[in-house]
Amino acid sequence: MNDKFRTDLNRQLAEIEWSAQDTEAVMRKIHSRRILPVRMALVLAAVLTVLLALGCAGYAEYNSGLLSRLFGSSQIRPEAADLLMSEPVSMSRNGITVTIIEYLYDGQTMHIAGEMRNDTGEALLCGMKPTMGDSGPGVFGLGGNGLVLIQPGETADGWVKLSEMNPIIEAANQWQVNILAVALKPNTELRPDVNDTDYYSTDRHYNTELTETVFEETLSFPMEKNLETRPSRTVPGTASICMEEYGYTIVMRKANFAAASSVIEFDLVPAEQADIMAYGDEGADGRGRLYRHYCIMIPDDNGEMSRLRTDGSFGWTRNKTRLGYHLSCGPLPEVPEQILLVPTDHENNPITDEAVTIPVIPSIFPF
Amino acid sequence: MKNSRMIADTHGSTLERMMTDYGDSIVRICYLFLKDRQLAQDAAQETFIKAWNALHTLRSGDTEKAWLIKIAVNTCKNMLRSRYFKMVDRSISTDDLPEPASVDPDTDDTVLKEVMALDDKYREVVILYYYQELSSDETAKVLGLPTATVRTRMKRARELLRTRLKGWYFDE
Repeated sequence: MNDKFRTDLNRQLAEIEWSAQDTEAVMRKIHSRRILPVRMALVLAAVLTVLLALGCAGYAEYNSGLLSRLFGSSQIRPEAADLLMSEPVSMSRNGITVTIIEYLYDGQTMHIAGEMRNDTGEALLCGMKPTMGDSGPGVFGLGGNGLVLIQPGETADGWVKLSEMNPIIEAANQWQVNILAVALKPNTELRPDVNDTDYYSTDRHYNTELTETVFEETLSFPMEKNLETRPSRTVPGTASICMEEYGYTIVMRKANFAAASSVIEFDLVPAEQADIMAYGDEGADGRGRLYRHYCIMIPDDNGEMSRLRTDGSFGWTRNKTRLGYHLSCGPLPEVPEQILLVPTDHENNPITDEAVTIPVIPSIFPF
Repeated sequence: MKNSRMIADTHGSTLERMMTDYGDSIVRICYLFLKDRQLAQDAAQETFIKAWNALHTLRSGDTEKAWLIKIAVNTCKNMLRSRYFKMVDRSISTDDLPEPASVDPDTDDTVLKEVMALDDKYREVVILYYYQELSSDETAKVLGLPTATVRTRMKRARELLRTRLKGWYFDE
């Protein structure tokens, strides 16, 4: 079985491959974590100080690491740049420095970039995550980037996107964001085999007998909803279409288009009370016919509908009465009066016959 | 400073060689664990970053490939365990969308689908033992399980695949 099995599996996985871009990405991340020579660090610090002293808003707008990660350098929307908070929030204790470098909330999604520096003289496992605080509504923790081993004198950075917000925050105009930062020292006596790569696991180390917590602080900063940047949106329940072939109706739940994110959610509701079709119910050949991806089409300059390329993620939820679809992706370049939500075939081509037109209410209207 | 830079440069070239030699294997293992192409690429990149951080711990007697696979498996398991992973929309990737009705031997992905459909505990031994050709001892070490347990799971996984892939490898 072995050789043929391996050959077949390799053939069927042929499209999953390591690319030169992956190599570049790894090397870039590694280099960004290396220690800066002291002289260079001093020069860099001086340059940054000058830039900050000049109050150069354009610097934050066009050179923000967070915005570049979100949109790429060429697609930064002015509204997003306006929302970006790039005055670092920082605290130090016992040789550990935690800094929230930039953060942005666009009315539905929060993005936070931060870093930790270790000047304790010994390697520590460090990590940060948003958490629920004591002082009023905070952001629910969603994990974060896990722990990373930071050598003495080194800095590690990371960012997190919070698309599932605490309902209290959704309704509030201002709230407190709390970031829990921890640094853990491996317990010398119980130090695991350093060859064991599970050594880096948050689950394994945090609050266990394997480590000693040497730093645990919550960094808080206030966040205010910018009333001028509410997401453009649709009205729930509108824009339904009956897919006669399957006996399902699409019913919109949410389509919000904010400065730094778009979220679309709808349900596929069956015409008759029956168990919702599960992924795979139709067997290997037909499975997933309902579980298709949907793309967004908007009018281009000539009034033709063109497909919007968005980086994002999507998924399905299922219960006894409905099949839910949700798409979370980047912002639309500009918000049109309507969009087309179009299912795609197995080759990711739009099936325009089944397109759903969604009217979009501009953000100037109240919630 | 000069010494540490030289060590870093040596590690860098070792890492680049590892990425060339094992990149495809690692990203495919990650895909088989995570069932999502984008996450698999993230996990594979993270694997090599962790490897770079821990390169000094690689002992001369260790099998480089098994060592990297262990990092990859732990990285994937951490991602699967994290609350973040559970909240992120990742249930289906575009690659899982319906296939054409006709079955072309070159595009038929029955084997892949059946491997992906196995329970985690069986899938991981199939990936490591049958696909990556680790020994049962190495598989046990990577998964942190007794060798006997690995052998039992291999036997059960083989029985499951025997039923599901009848005609592929089990002419009966």
